[in-house]
Amino acid sequence: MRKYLALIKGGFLEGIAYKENFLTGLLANFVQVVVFYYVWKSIFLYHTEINGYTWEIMKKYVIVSFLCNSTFSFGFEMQTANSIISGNIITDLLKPLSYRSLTFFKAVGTAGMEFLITFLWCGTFLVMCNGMQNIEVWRVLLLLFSILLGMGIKFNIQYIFSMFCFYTDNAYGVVKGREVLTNFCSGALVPLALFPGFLQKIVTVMPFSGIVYIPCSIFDGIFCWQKCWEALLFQSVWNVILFAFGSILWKKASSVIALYGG
Amino acid sequence: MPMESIAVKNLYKKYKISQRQEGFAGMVKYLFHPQYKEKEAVKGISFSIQQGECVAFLGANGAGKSTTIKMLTGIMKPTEGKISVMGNDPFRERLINAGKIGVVFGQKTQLWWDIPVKDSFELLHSIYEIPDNVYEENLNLFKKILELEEFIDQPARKLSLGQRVRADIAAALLHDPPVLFLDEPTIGLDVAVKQKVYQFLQYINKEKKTTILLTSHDLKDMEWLCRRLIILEKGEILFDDEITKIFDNYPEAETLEEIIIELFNGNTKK
Amino acid sequence: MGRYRKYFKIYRKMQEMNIKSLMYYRADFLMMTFFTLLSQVSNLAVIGIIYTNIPTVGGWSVWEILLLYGYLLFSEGWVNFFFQGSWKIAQMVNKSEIDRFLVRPLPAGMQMVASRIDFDGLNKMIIALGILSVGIKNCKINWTIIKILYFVASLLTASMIRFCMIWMASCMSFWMQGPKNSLNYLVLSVGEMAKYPLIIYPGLLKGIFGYIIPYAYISYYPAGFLLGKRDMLPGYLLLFPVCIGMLWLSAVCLKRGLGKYESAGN
Repeated sequence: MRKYLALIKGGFLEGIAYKENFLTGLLANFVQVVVFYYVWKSIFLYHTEINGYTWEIMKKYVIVSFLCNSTFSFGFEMQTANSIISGNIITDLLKPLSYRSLTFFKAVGTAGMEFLITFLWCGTFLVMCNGMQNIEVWRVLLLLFSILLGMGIKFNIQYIFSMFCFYTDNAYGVVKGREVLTNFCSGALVPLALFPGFLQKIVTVMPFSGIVYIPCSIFDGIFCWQKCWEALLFQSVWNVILFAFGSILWKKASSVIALYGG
Repeated sequence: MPMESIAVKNLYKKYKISQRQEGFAGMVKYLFHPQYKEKEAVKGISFSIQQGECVAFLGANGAGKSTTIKMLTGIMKPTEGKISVMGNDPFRERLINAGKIGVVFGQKTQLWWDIPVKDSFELLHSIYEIPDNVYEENLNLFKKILELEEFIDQPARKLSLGQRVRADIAAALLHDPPVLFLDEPTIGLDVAVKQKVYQFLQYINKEKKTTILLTSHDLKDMEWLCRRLIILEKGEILFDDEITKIFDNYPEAETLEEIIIELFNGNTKK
Repeated sequence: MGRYRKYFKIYRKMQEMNIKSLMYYRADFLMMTFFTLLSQVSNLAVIGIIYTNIPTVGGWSVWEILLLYGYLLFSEGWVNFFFQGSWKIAQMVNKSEIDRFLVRPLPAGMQMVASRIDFDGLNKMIIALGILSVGIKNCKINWTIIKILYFVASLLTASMIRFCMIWMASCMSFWMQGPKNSLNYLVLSVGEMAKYPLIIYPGLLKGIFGYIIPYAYISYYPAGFLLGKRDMLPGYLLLFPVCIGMLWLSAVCLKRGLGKYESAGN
């Protein structure tokens, strides 16, 4: 147990040390959110409702989307790639922990810090805009639970993509690819419900929806009670699938290390 | 009648180093009331070098050698004093001065990293506006003496240290500069390569009357190349004369090595 | 004048060498192209999806928005292809690469800018021109000689403004400790807002994007003028003095930065 705590603490401190990175990432995320806030605001000046969404709902959506994207924002694929190139990955493999656990607990430390700060910021902002009356406690609790599951999905996806770093020199491309795909399919910018017919069907089935769209929909009331629980189940199932997939990829990738030698 | 190639008068370099205390309180204090300590890396040195001379700068780390060379090449701004290289102020007249000097940094390369060495040379051909016949002549000469053929088609990142230094020296001399600066050029080189480098530099110094100024830790550099030695210690000139004369100051010593060890151990007898 | 012709010739040769050195990394290039295409497609898809739900944003149709997007993408590619060195100033300062530049008889700024190339920039410019033509074809623009000339001039001017923004953000490395400077990436992110018309933003942001981080001149005013939108005066004309002002500021930043570099050493 202690080793996990130590890793978490290490990740937390590292996050603080690289606070400049974090702030830039946070601000970049924030800018995107601000842009979409005003885009939707101007749209809702002329329409009271679009496909079930009102401006009130959309506002909450945008804020929670910001919160969901704030964690694991560094994308540790680069670190993995660097440690492969430098050879440091060997030392990681010698530790009495699975590589995934190692990465996970380190990332959790940083993510914890990111989440805390963003949560405080968002929470204050939301309360300032909307006041306390509309917030149902059970939704908030489900939201937190859903965000946790969403973080799990995000981590697993990043882990899987980082496995690709074993096969290519271009880690930057891998990160970019993952970012683009995730941004689009998670509903970070446009709620998945607004996607046109066939696209919507595809995207709602993929795990990415669990990162942003599901937590947002739980909180802003689009999902009824039953749908919430279905969604949480959906997230859990994908967590398991991705975890298993990650394990398989790891078995294949770690054999590649033997080829690299020193 | 040899001209004055490099003239330095009363050269100073002073730094302000910020004093910051530990902890949060220290940081706040620093924001409102920053304190600085002044450090003098070079303290009013003066010397003059004639065209065609070969001078070695010797000194421990932190003695001020690198700082002096940086000021002489125009990379660093002097705090006080005057420098004149071939009649130009290297800092204020950087562009003009740069065309007349060659510089070899032992630790860093002047070559472009990912393209073949000969392409780097071609670029320098354009940058220094070297007349074609001069370029061809120099290139062939350097290729022969420094044995560049074996790797001139390789990109710089694939070269060994010895090959890279040879290429860098050739690169620095393609435009026939009247003055050549070398900052720790032989660091890490094996004896065979060092020999080639010394022979080449001696040749250049003799044939083209190039003024050579080098900083070094290495005794062999000095014994082989330079007649004159300038020793720097804590920003001041301790000795500036012909190498042979140093033995007059240290009559007990039998080799240059002994003297140097004495000096670096802080026994300054002047 | 002959001096500048010489500098241009050498700049071109350095870029040729940069491209040559990229040949060694061919696999990377294909990957980069693939991911650029992927990024652009998904960005456009997002815009497209928004527009399947509503006809206009701030009064601009989807084809008109493509003009904004095209200007932005073109200017980004322009900086990547011609001035990529401006992204890497932090590295240059930290590894004392600038020493190398200072001992050569060429302006340091020019060497810094030409020290790298991102071939992907060409991809971006080509895609941007494609997007611009699709947008233009579907918009009702009253083309006159002036508008055609303005289109070309504004595209280039917008690109130079973008260059200045990144250059100045990167120059902060001269005053910052530590090897990383993400201000330039931050400036790039802020550009997101220029994908949509300025009117949707509240007064404060309009002020910021008009006067402090002048993205409004990179896409909104030029495109707005071509489309004949209201309130484009004086914006679409201010484009040019803003560019000149920023070029001057960039030169000052460089001069001060180099001064600091040369005083402190490394």
